[in-house]
Amino acid sequence: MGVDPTRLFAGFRWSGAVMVLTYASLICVVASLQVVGSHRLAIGNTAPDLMLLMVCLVGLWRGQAEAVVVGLLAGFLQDVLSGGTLWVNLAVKPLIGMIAGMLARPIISMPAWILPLLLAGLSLLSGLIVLLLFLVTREDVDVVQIVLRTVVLQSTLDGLVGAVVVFFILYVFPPQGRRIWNP
Amino acid sequence: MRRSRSRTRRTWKILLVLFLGGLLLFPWSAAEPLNVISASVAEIIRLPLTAISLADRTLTSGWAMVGGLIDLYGENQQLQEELLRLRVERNSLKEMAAEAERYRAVFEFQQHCPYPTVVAQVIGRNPTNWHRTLIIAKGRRDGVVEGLGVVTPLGVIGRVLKVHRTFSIVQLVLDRDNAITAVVQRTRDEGIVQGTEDGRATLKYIPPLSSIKAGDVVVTSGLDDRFPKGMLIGVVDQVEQKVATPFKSASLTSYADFSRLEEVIVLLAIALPEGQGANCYTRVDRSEDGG
Repeated sequence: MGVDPTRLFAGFRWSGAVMVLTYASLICVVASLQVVGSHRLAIGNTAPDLMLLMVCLVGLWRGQAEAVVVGLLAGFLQDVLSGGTLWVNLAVKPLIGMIAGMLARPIISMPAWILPLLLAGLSLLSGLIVLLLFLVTREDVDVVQIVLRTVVLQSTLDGLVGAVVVFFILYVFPPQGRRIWNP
Repeated sequence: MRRSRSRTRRTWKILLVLFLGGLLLFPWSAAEPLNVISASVAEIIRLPLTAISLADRTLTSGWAMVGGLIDLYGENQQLQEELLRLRVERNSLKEMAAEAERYRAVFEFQQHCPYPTVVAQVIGRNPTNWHRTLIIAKGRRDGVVEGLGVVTPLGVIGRVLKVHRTFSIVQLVLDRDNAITAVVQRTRDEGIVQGTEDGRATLKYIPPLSSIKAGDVVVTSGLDDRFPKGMLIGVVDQVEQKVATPFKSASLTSYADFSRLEEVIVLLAIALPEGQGANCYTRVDRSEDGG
């Protein structure tokens, strides 16, 4: 089954206020789920990054501009709630959202199972960027441990959770026909 | 025609009266043939009689059983509802008991701790995998400021990293960026407790000649201004000395289960007036002392 993610919500007319309200609610709900419930899906100490998944999916379905804005807000909120002193997520999340938006067009004619792989790949990229920042700002970093225990494991979890979310969305809102994305 | 029929009927009536009278007058000793006949008749009648009686009993008991089953079904439904209600009640009571136990431990700790403290509920955990943090429901309005120590009755948890008006972020002992000055209780060797990549705590910079071994208890040294001296951090799990460094290091197992924390205690200050005792004993300390 070829999937055109941009077609999913094509019939829905967004007014500005509705869009702001929807995204604000979405970010608040996902942020709450992240801090309260995501550790239940954790393997060891590593949990899926639901905020990252949200930004990626917004990028894939709604385009770069919206993904960057959502990424900025989500990253900011994540940094406020996290123990990091650097604003890493504020920088990384919009970047990943932008890349997801750029990838939306090439995957239009690809099968649906490519989406979870793409999400895992974007999560891996995000993890490697954060690791790079860690290496720049700290000493005595065990790179192998971090890559194995945090970066790879998180991207795997993100891919799995992303698969569930993507197939749920495709089930609830089945794509109707193919359409070249023209944001 | 009608006359002959009434005559026949009258004849039969007379014969019946005579027969009945004959039976009354019949000598009892000569009744043996009748008895034989009656025995055969009784034997014949016994079969349908038994069958009907059995059917009657079966029907009666069956009906009683059906009635009983109907009653039983109702009773079963009622008991199931009762059981469900009791299960819910039991779970609720268990939860309340567990909560009461936790609060009792916290209260007991507060009673023994001479420092001003505030109990905070854990409302969230780290939103990224890069740091080990907790979100607690106490903030600036409750007197919490950055850098304060956070503990439970089982030992040190971490320190307050960021403070907002109504909530705060606590950096756990297990975080890579955390550092607490500590001392090995038995040998009095000092070191620094830090988190590792795999989410454990490690005591670093232990003198190379230290006799530290697995099972030694590590407590706060009191050298920093966050924790009073002697608060539990953990137990030495394994000691190692890397070739590249002159110091020993030891991995620790914490007494507190960081994944199940529900309430923590924030130490609002650890400075005390002159002459006042400065020990904040934990539950494990006292149990080991036999107190």
